[in-house]
This record gives sequence, structure tokens and C-alpha cells, in this order.
Amino acid sequence: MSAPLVRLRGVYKRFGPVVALDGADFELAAGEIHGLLGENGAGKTTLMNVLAGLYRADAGDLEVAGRPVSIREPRDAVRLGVGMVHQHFELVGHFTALENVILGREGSGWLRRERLRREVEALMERVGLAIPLDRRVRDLPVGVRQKVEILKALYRGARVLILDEPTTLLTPQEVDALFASLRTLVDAGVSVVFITHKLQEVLRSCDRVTVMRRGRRVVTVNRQEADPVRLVEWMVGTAPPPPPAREATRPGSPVLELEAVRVVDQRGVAVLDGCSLAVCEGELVGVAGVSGNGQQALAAVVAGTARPAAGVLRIRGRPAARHGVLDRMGAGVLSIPEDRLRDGILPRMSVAENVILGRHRLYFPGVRYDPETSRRLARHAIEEFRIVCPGPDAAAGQLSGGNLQRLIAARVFHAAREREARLLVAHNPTRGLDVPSTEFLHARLVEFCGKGGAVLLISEDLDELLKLADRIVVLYRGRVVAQFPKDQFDRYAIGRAMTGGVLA
Amino acid sequence: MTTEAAARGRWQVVWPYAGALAIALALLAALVAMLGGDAAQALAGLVRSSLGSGAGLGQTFNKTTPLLLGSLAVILGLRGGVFNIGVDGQIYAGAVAATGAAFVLSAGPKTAVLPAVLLAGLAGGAVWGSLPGVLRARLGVSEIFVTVMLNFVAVFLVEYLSTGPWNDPTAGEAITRAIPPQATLPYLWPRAGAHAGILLALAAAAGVWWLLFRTVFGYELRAAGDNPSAALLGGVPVRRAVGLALVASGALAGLAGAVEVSGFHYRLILGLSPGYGMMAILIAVLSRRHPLLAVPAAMGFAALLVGTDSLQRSVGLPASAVFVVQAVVLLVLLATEGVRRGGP
Repeated sequence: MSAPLVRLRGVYKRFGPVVALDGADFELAAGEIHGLLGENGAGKTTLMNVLAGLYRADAGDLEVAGRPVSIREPRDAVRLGVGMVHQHFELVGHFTALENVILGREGSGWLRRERLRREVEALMERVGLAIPLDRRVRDLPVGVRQKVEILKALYRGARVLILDEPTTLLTPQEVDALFASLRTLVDAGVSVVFITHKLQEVLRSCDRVTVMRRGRRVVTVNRQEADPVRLVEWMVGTAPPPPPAREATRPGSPVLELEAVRVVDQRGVAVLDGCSLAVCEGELVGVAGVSGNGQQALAAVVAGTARPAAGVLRIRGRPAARHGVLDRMGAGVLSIPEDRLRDGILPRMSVAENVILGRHRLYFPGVRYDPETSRRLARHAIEEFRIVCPGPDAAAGQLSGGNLQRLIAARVFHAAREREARLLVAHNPTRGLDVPSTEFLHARLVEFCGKGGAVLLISEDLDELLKLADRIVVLYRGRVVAQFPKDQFDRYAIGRAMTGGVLA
Repeated sequence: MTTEAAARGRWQVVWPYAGALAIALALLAALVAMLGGDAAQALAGLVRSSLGSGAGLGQTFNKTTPLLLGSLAVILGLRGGVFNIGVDGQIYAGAVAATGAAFVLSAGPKTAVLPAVLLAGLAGGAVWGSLPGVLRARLGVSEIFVTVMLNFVAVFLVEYLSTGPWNDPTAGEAITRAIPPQATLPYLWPRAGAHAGILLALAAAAGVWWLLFRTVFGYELRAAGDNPSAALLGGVPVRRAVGLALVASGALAGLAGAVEVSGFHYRLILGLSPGYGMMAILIAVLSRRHPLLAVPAAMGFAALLVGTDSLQRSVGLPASAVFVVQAVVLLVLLATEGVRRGGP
């Protein structure tokens, strides 16, 4: 192969204490579809954001068409012919498709608009992508919006097109159509980087694959040399599982039971579909899976913020599908939400008012709210969970992410003591936390189980699950596709199930 | 905030407004001079007619009452995460209910009639607030549209009543017959013409503070307003809290309407609210959604309205020029608020 069209060498990028890219390399040849594969957090998107000018690398060399370049901002990338379509589209909903494609170059007057329109039509013809130019983007289905994004990038002169997880929001038919269009694009002279964590897509659509793990390239291979077994090995590594944090327990009676639960989201898509699982007293069940496979819906349906459209949900043997959050709390269900800012924190209210949230009716069964009680609880929480803040009256929105998580943990574990909690749902509870905070939270989870509590730990960090869980279930496309008891923990087999790989 | 931080915070609020007031007064003097008046005389008259004399203070108190009640209504809504821009409609609804109650109960003793009239005002406003409240809680309909639309409904209802069934045939304008004496609010300070409404408004400010910061309902209301999805996960019945916020907000505005009828006009008139609802939003923002800070904010606002009104008499400014002066003062205050927040 001749000199690569794009070459990234030794790219480093840190976000605070987190090393996102640890000397990553990448080469893209002209006229290929190149799959960039890796688990969540492997650095795929960060690396491509460096190429697209959204992040500036701390160190590393960038070459485009054999010439060293410096990309400081998105404009530089556009000038070099690099365009990126993000996972969440950046379109103006009440503009038409045409207006979105030509955004920033629209000029004024009908004549110019007509000329631009002809340009876009010619482009559509050339690359084989057709979109209804005069429809408002907000009225278009997701698959078509994606085409608008792709055309927008191409219209700005992209010869290198980066697609970040382009299939996440698409239906299977739309995925087929996307793959077909990518081929046409390549024939028209565009080179494509396809970021994904789905094996099947890589094997189906890419010419070459680069696998990343922990901020570095593991390998780049031609598709012919890749098979699901080896790809998974490269993605998750072959290191032995971390030593378990606790002995396997003999579980008691079931606390949470789901049978064929179906949850439909606002778009009408079934995000949980035939999901069945059970968690027993004293048991910590880990839910593994690549994000976007129903984890949010699972957490919501157990916490009581989403209602199942079908199926059976029992808590401590009683049907609870129709119960709301308050009833769940009464039955001893607590939750640590995935998105702490969105679902966990009252940002303009004080630390004290945040600590008591969810327990306020326990402490104040009557009409009166006593701020001194909240402050007392908060001082206790600040001390025990080492929350760094000016005091109980500080606004919670001023706290750092790690301290917010400690605040939420304090709320939940204190409530667990007071209410005889039976079930704790924790969704990515240690994401973004430093090592001591993570250890601290893990110890609390284990302690809770030791006292007979049941834990449903939904996590994208496989090491966390291998360390803590008694049993790991794998969620893929809204259902449990595999189960692993503690004595059969196998990073490779779990990883393969997570990526939808064929099960041996 | 710790207590010292809170004290510091309070000063940070006060200083910019003192500065804004100085700028506004300077502009006002310049404007009066431009329009051919005597600036010094105008400023003296402004102060004397609003704060510097008994009669002026009385007028300022009377003006403070609906402004404070209205801004408390807005604050209660904002704290619960809803934007009640229907305070005017709720004032009218409360005024209609209060007037109706006064006519129906005209035979009773004052100790029974007056409380009933005020309660009717509360209830009328609450009904007006419950429509957007229920629609928002049950169907998620934006309260902004519903409250604005209901403003028109309330105004037309008043127009119908004041020109139709309740019309005072001797007046020849859109006003109703006078309410019976048992339904009127007593004077607090008869020589100054100040009625007892200011006491109700101050009590309401304390009551709203207590409700927001010392009751479980208020806690849940604030939680729902701050972050509905976190509140929901914390077991707060968010939709109910938000709906009730609108009902309570409407009730406060309705009380303002009842007080205007029972304390000031003694009848229902078209134009009872000269845009109190919009000014209430401004006061609510200036007082940073705090019910106790709304007291000085509403009073300062009332003093400005009363004082600038007096320019018609003291320096013979035409009424339209007075509106210009008021608008300039408002703009300065708004700009100050923008600067205090650190720009857009």
C-alpha cells in the first residue's frame, strides 16, 4: 500500500488525571473503509476528535497526504478535508435539509441559493446519497438525518469522513442502507473511518480494522485476517480476571425478578425486549454490556421511573410492575443513577437538601421540614463519605463530579441503613472516579450484600464486574443473552457475548 | 451558603441596585430638563410624593400590595419550575370572585363578609391557576400558553360583568356597582389613605417563605423545580407538585385582585390591573426568587411608580412622558440585573 492518506503517531491526550490516549497510532489508506474498534473508553472517539480538531493532542504527530500538519481547531480539519459525523447529530431541526447542508455558506438572495442547491444536487448524484432537500430536518427519520450530516461534511470538502458509532440509532434496514452508501462514497473517492464497538459491523463493512485498548492501538489488520474470536481477544485483552473482592455467597430468596420485560422508549423503540433476570438476597449480580443495549431502561424500570409495556416484574415476590418510585422505595429499592447531574442532583439546592432527598418523608412525616435535621445528616455524610465542600449549605452544583458521586453514595447508603433496604440498583457508579473513591464505593456495595442486601450492578467496566459480582449477565439488544456464574468468569467469553459475537 | 457568605451575598445584591437607582434618577432629571421641567423640583417631588410624606407612603403601600402578592405568585411558580405569566388573569379572576361574593353576601356582618370576600379572591385565582396546573400535570401542556390565553379570558369576563349584569348604570363606564361596606378592607392608616392590604401582602411573603423553606411540600416543590428527573428518582411526586405550584401561585394573585377590589376601588373595574402581572415577573427576578427579598423590591418598585406618577402634578409632565420616565428606570434596572449576572 502506498503512503497513507492520514497518519497519526504517538498521540497522547489527558483529561485531568485520566489518560485517554496513551501514545495511539493510526493510519488510514486512501479509498478504504477503516473500522476503529474497541470497548467504551478505549480512546476511539478521542483519537478521531483529535483528527477532527475538536481536541488538541498533548503530544503526537499528524500527517495528511504525507505532509505533517497541525490541527488546532475544527476549521483546520475542514481545510484538510477531514469531516466528522458525531454520534449525536448537530443539525438545526427547524431548518430544511438543504439549509443544514449549506449552513455557514448560504449567502443571500435566491440566485445564490439556487446555485448552491444545484451544487448540492450534483453532490448527491455523485456520491449516491439522496435526501429530500426541502423537508425540515426535525421531520426526517434518524437514518435520513444521518445522510444530511454526511452530505454536510462532504459539501464542506471532506475527503476523509469519520463516522462515530453511526449505527447506534439506526434500524437494521437503515444500517444496510448506510453500508451500501459507504461503498458508493468510497467509489467516489472518499475514505471512511468507522468507529464502532460492534464486531459484526466491522466484519461486514470494513476493508481494514484497527483495534484500540486503553488509549493505544493493539493491532491493524485486513478484514481477511480478522475473525470474531481474535477481535474480541484484542479488544478485551487476555489478562486474567482480577481477584474477586469477596467469596461467593449462597443466595437467599429472590428480591428482584424480571420475566420477559419489555420497555418502549419515546421513539417507540423497544429498548428492553424480553429481558429476564433475578437477583437474590445477599447476591451481587453484574450486568455487562456495551452501552446502549438497554442498560438505562433496565435501571429505570427497576427504580420505578419507567413502566414495563409487557412482562412481569416482582420485588420480594410481589408484582410491582405498576408501582412508582415511592412504592419502590417503600419496598426497599434504592438506586444510584448513571447520570449524576441529570438524575441525581438538585444543583441549585444545598448539599443538605440533596443529602436528604429520597429520605425526606422518612424524616419529616408531617408538614414541617426542618433544615437543621438536614444539616445534621449532611455534616454526618460529609464526614463519613469525605465529601469536599464548603459545608452543608453550599449549593450542590458547585461540587466536583467525584464529590457529587460521594454525596449520592452517602444518600443511598444512609438510606439503606435507615430503611432496611433490600435492593440497590447501581448504574456505572464508579465511572470517572479516582481509585480511592472507587475502592470506597466497592467496599460499600460489598458491605451491603454482606448484610443480606441484593445488588444489581450495571457497569460498562468489565473489571469492576469480575471483581465484585457473584454472577454476571450480559445485556445485548435489550435482553439477557448470556449468564456466567462466578466459577465460569471468562473475560473473553463475556466480551464476545457483549459484542453480539456468535456464541460457541 | 454560610451566614457570612449569605450576608456578603446580600450586599452584592444591594450595591448594584443602589447604583442603578442613582443612574436612573440622573437620567430622570436629564429627561425632565429636556422636556422643559425643573429637574430639582421634579426629584424633590418624586421623593416627597412616594416616601417623604404620609400620603405618599400611603399610596406606595397601596401600590406595593398587588405588586408584592403578584411577585410572590411568580416566585412560587418559578421555584416549582413553572413560568406563570398569567398573574394578570388570576388577579382579575380573584377580583371577579371577590366582587361576586361581596354582592351575594351583602346582608351579613363585616366579620363574616370581609374574610369570605378575601377567601373568594384566593379561590378565584386558584381556579384560574388550576387550569394550567392540571393541563401541565396531566398532559404536559406548557403553562406559558395556557396562562397567557387565560389572561384574555379573564379580561373579557371582567368587561362583560362590568358593562353587563354588574354594571353601575349611573357611572356610564365599564365599572360595576360598589360593593357593600361590610366587604371593604379597613384602613391601616386612614390619614394617608393606606388600606390594610399591605399587612396581608407582608403576611403572604412570610407565609410563602415558610411554605418554601419550612414545609415538606415546599421542599418537594423546590426539588421538582430545580431538577425534575432527580426529584422523581428521589420519590417526589413531581407532576403533582408542579400542578399545585400553579394553583397556589394563582391563589396569591387572586388575593391581590380581591384586595384591589375590597381595599382600593370598592368595585370591579376594567383596567384593575395596569400590568401588575408583568411587573411582578420583573420583581420576582430582581429579588432572585426569594419571597423576603421581594418585599423591598416590590416596595421600591411601587415607590418609583407612585413617584413618577406625581411628576404630572409637580412639574406638569404629560402622562405619556411619565411612561417614558418609568420605562427608562425599568430598563436601567434590567440592565443592572444583566450586569450583575455577568452578562448574557
